[in-house]
Amino acid sequence: MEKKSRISAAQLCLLMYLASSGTGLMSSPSVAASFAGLDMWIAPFWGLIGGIACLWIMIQLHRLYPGQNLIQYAEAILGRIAGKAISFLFLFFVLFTTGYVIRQMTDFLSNSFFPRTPPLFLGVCIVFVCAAAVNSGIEVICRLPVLFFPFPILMMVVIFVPLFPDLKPVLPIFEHGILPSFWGGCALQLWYAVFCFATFYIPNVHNQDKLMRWSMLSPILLCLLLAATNWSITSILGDAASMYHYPFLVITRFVSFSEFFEHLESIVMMIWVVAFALRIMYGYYCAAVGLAQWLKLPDYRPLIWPVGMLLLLMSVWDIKTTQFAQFDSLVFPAFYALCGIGLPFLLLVAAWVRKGMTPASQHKTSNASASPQTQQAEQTK
Amino acid sequence: MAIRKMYRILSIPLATSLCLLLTTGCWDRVEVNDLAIVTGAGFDLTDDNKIKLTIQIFDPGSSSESSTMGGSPSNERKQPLLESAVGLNTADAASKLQELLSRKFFWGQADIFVFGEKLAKHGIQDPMDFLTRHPHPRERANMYISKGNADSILQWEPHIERNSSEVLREMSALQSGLDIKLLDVIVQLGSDVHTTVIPWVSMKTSDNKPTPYLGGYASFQDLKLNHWYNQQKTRGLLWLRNEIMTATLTAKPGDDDPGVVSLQLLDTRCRLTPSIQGNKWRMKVTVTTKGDLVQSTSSMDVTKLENIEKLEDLFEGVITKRISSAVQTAQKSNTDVLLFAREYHRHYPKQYDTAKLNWKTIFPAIEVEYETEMTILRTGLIGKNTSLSKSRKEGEGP
Repeated sequence: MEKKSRISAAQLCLLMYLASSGTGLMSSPSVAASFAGLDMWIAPFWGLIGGIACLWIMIQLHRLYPGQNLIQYAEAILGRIAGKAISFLFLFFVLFTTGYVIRQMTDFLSNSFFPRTPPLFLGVCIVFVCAAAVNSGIEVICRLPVLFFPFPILMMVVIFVPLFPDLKPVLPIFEHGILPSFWGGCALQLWYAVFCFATFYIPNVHNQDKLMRWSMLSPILLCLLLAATNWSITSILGDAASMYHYPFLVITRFVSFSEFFEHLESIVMMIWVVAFALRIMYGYYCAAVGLAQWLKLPDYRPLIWPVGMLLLLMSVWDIKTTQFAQFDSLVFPAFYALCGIGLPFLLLVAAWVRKGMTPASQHKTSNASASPQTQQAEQTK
Repeated sequence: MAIRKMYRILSIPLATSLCLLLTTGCWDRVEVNDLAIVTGAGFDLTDDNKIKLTIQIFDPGSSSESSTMGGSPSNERKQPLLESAVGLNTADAASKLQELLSRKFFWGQADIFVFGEKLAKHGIQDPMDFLTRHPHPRERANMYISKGNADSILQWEPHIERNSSEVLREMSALQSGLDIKLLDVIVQLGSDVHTTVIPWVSMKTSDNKPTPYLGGYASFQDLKLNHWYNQQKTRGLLWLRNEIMTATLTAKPGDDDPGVVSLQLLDTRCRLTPSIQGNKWRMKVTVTTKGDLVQSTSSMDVTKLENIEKLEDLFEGVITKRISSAVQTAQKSNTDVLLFAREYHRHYPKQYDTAKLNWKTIFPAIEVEYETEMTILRTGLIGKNTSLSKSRKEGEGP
């Protein structure tokens, strides 16, 4: 692996935030609404727990095994066979979710804008672009969100400012108790669990001391964005919110600046496609790097095209349409949460047990660059 | 490395074949001259319970001619381009309609959707589902109920604007309260009480030629039209729903006073305060409003503070009367267009949760109290109009 490519913690934060915000804005409101109803704006705060836990686990694991990602230390923690099996499951999760995002994008585009274009063609186009980005390496992938960051902000301003007079406090809060919003938060693990992909980026972060702060900022930003969006959706659409597949698209179509700026959805779509592309390359890179390490290849680049093909395959594999898949059932979120949070947590527990059992002198060398906190903790042991 | 070389050689035909993909162009490419741009659509019910869809199409030929030949106005105006077809439902009618056209029609610019009276009484679920589900109709399009057939509105040829859709849209924008968009209807129907209001429009003869006229609201219960609100009651509704922007109120100050006084309202705010005491559901309506005097032919001296207070009391009564007449109509027809249910839901979620199932028995029995607070801010450029009152005194002499 090339050790010289380095990214900053802030870049990683932006990448994770933008990657999840695109799909989050598109379909999370209807998912949250189907569980939480009027409390849908509270659901992201419950979901935030999952996102923070996920990143915390990943950073702790990285502190125990600096410079390695999940595929590498899974073997060190669980042994060769179990480690390979666990990391295969994780790789499948990465591939499947990214393929699913491609499918979401093609379904959304062909449903709302391009009814006659073959969806697979749209998928091929986006995978092609993302393959080019992944081929350029991690530094390019992490700089793209910095480049594109102003556009989603602009989109937010353009959409929320004209809607401001229509916004009103959403009452009643917790009408049916606290549970509906909690289940809504669980369903939102479809987005928060994806923060676990950070494991492939964390080893390349050069300012490890700031990593914790920056990476925690990312799910918090996402949570605020989703809460604000859900809030404006409920105060504008009311009970009709859960009826729409893409409520956010509806409120953007409703935006009007004094009959002058209308039809804003084309701008929204443009920015959305950018956010989708970021999300896909975010997962694409992980899949390529992870698969290369799983197969013990020296470089991930020869795997880019095969992985792209796999992603496209995942995007059409046994999904009739994304519109039916994720509503009203917690099957999908449970899968996401198990693979994204549960599996790394298992590894962390196993690693703690293992490190606790082995003598301190043995891993002192491997822990040379770990943060002083963990070293201190180990010295006290 | 051999593999790398192979990869490189293989990538050349791959790249060329990808270029081939681009030459197929975009499947959803649309040329403007292949589109029939719908500016307004009407939905009617035929005698055998089928849907008749009438669309008004933007005629690019006529509008460009009139703009280039501005110097020589031609008196004969072209009839607006109307096409209609009958089908089992709206989508069926739309596909039949397409067979009559040389261009593919495009809903994205449709400004208005008009439901015929007969369809509205029968139920609007059929066109509403089409308009909500189809990705092209815009949520910002205005909705109307036509007294009579919907196509009579679309057919009418205006003199100032491009077409009747534009006229109606602009009229709605001026009378902001009657500006009901497709999204508003969807949202209102989505609420628990399942009612909505849509402005109604009819053709009125003014100066020997017909003109469309926005008469007020028509209220819907369970997707069926159940009451027409006239202009006065609509005003009352608008006050309750906080949608009124400006209004001019006119009233006679007293029986012995020959003149009348008019007031222009500038800023009106209405607050609904629900309360539940035992079994009694009460609603307090608090209206605070500010206004300017725009005309007064009364003998009252409006520079005196006590007279202004008298006028304020007078207009408070007028407003209360209008609101209460709207409330009484809504309660009599048992259609909660006043959004009372939403207020109870917001403030008494527990009680509302059990009550919403038999809201139809609760709503007509809600006791409504009114509290109106009116402030007259200014009396215009003059105080007491001395020039007129003097001439009147002289005229009264003989």
